[in-house]
Amino acid sequence: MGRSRRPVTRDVDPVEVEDLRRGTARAALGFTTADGTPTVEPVLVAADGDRHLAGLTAAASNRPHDGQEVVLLVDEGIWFFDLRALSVRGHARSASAPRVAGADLDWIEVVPTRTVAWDYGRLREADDAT
Amino acid sequence: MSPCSSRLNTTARAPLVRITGTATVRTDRAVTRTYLRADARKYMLTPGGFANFRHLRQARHMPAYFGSGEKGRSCVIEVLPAHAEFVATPRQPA
Repeated sequence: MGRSRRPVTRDVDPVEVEDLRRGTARAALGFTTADGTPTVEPVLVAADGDRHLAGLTAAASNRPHDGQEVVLLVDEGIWFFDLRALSVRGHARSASAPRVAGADLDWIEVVPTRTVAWDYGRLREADDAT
Repeated sequence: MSPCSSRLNTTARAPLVRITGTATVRTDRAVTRTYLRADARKYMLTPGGFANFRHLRQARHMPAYFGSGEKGRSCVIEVLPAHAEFVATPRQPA
């Protein structure tokens, strides 16, 4: 077995982790509070076409305001090669409840500026098409 | 986040605890090595971890991936907790 000469990556196209947007994986929304303190709230995620929606409970301690920068992280897996995730950095925008998810939650759309996805089960040499 | 299984039950979730505190990034090798050993014992040297090595094709890339610095320098984020609380989790409608 020869030594790898190309960089190794775990990154995948976000389309490959599309199933994580269907509300069954762990999800959290990170942002800063009014005094600048970083915080994170668990959310329920829902997909509406290309839109990333995150639902917070009424009991959530904090909520981002419209336009505020947020990071939505959706992930699953315990064992190393089962670790898969989608990270969407963007700006919050109030949204109405999607049809298939909780109407009793406060919904926020994350308008993306940067989206990254990874899957350790797809660890491979970069530029490997398989 | 909660120690959920890989395939979550959408109608029941383990309770979540949010810990707030001061974070320190540690890059000294003594600390990073200690945590790497602990991670190996917990996530690899267990029946579940061994079973996960069915991904032999990917396993051979692990030394190159961790040695490449692709995601930056290895570090441990230590959190000195100041506050802990149970957090309500939104549930998928049945």
